[in-house]
Amino acid sequence: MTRITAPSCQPVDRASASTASEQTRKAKPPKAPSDREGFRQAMSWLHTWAGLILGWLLFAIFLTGTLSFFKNEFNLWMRPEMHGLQPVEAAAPQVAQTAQRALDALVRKVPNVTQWIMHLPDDRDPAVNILWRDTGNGRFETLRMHPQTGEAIDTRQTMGGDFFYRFHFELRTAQKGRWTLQGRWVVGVATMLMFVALISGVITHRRIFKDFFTFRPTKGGQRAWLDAHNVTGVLVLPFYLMITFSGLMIFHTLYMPAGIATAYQGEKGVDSNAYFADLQGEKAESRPRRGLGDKVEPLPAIALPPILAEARTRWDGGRIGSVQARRDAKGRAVVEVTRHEGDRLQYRPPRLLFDATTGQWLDQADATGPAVKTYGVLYGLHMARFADVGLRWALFGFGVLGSLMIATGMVLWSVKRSATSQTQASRKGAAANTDAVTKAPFGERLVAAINIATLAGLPLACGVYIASNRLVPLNVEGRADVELAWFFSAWGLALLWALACAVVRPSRMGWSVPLGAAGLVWALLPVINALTTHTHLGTTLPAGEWVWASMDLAFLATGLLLGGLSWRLRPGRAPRGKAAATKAQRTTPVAALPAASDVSASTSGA
Amino acid sequence: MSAFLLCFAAWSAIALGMDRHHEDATGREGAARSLQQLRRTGWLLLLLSLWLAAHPAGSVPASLGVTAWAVALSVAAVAVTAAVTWQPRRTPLLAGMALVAGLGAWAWGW
Repeated sequence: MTRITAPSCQPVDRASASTASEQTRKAKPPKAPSDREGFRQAMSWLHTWAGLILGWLLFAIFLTGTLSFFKNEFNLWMRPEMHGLQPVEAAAPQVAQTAQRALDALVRKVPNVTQWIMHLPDDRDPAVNILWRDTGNGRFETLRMHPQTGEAIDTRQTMGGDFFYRFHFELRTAQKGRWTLQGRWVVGVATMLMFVALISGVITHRRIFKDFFTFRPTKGGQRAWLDAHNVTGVLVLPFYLMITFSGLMIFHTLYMPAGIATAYQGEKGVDSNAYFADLQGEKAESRPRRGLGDKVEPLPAIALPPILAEARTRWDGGRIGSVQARRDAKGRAVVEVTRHEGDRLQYRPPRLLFDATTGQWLDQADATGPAVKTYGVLYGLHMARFADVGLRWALFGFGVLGSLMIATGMVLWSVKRSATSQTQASRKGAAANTDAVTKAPFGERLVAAINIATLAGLPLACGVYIASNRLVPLNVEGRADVELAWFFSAWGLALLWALACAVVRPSRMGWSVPLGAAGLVWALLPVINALTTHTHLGTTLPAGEWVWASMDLAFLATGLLLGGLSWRLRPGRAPRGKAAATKAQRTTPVAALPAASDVSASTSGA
Repeated sequence: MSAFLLCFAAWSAIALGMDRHHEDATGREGAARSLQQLRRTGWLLLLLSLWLAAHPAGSVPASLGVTAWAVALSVAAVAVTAAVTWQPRRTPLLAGMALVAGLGAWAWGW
């Protein structure tokens, strides 16, 4: 028998693989008293399981949220009909002319409009976007208009970047919202667990501040995964704490409705509208809630230029974000001018109220109380509407790092457990000398499968969604939902593939195929774009239209990155280095393990 | 921009004040005293960059300046980690250049 007794084998493995510096660190007597160690163990348990249970969902939320930083750019790119619109100068009277032209066009189209909200063009969105309705309380219709001519732009039906945005906070599965409240609750629970995982993670990985800049990808195995998890975790920690906490705060009224229910008792039950009006520093009667069948008088003719000019003087030349008109509770037509969201950190921007017929200034609405201001700042930090291009890319990078932190955490769970079960198996002598694949327990295989389906499947699904925007014929019924069907089908296929590769019949193809497919789709996006539209790199690069061109270039870069990852994980590659460590641990001979078992001790405690 | 460069210099100094990275960068162990001085310099530089960010030029509100600084802080930390991982020998040089460029960028109002 070649069986070695476990106690003698374990320390040798550790010593051979750790460096001298690590040994000295281990040799130090533990300073902490034992109850602190117990606390850390408990936090480690909490971190592991809070992270695992909703980790996959968190990855999806984090990644789509990251993409949402470029929501407007996605919206633009996925509507190539909007290409070629000339930007409107924010400072000049052109803005007022643009607004008036769009309003005239709207009134020509819908003479008895009762309410409209007009988003004026800015440097991220060149069109005039109007939401309007001609009923008391019906659904708003959307209209996009040419900023110079006021003509409606006929765009393809798509959710564009709004899908990522909506999926991010309410797990939206259809263009017209369904299960949105339930979705928000699920996301809220996941966010809470993220917060728990962040705080317990700081306690668990206590060395992160000592090892602040330490990343050792060449060490391979679990060490490299742990380094990657710690480094992506700690360097951007302020961002994670901010984004998670503010994410929780945004929907505080959903999670904790009791306060409103107590303080805002109206005649017809709870009047949450009054609460929100107070929150935003408004008078509730300026924005009345109407029943579905209520008759509302159409709006009178409105002259916008004098109103907008006065708004600008009152804000010392600040930018105007949007304008809206409606009838207040007394039936008076009012115009509300909202300042541009990029002008300050705090969300929502201040608003000015004017009489629609006389153009007279009535009121200023803005959050005032310190708690409300704090809420606004948290909200603003989360939405990052203030960010210019450079800051936006940096935040996007943080989002990617956060997704990587979650991803490496999930992989660590698998790597660590398969390392343990391999060691156990080798102790039993089952696979000590053979290269035979040891089958991991069902639970571990299931986690491995869902890891593949989420971490590799979601990038694939996102790529397929964007591709479908170009490939689905324009006249298909319910086109926006067809695009979403592509997204969810791709994700579902990835799940089936992962289950087949990891649960039913373990195979090393699991990671490389969906990642390779994702890389292919993303890298092909510029090509598909060139074949189906005129807004491809061939025209946008020479014209210096960087918003359009950088989308294509970013898609290409994403594709190359995913492709490279898939190449590193391909079957047959020697199971060394960090990439191979993902799946290698389960399927490789025990010889590869010492490097892994050396750190398994330091993950849990150190 | 100046916030990023100054934070980069600051984080580099802190990193070079740590045993492991000091050894990687210079090839020898640093004296405890000089390591401590490096770390102190780093922290002071971080404070300086925060102070500069809180007094932005032009019409930018201080809240946005500090937010941008917080972003630059993390970006610089990522950059320094990359530097000490893949270019440990050049990290001191890069840090010095970042310090000069950062002060220059601040003087130009970037």
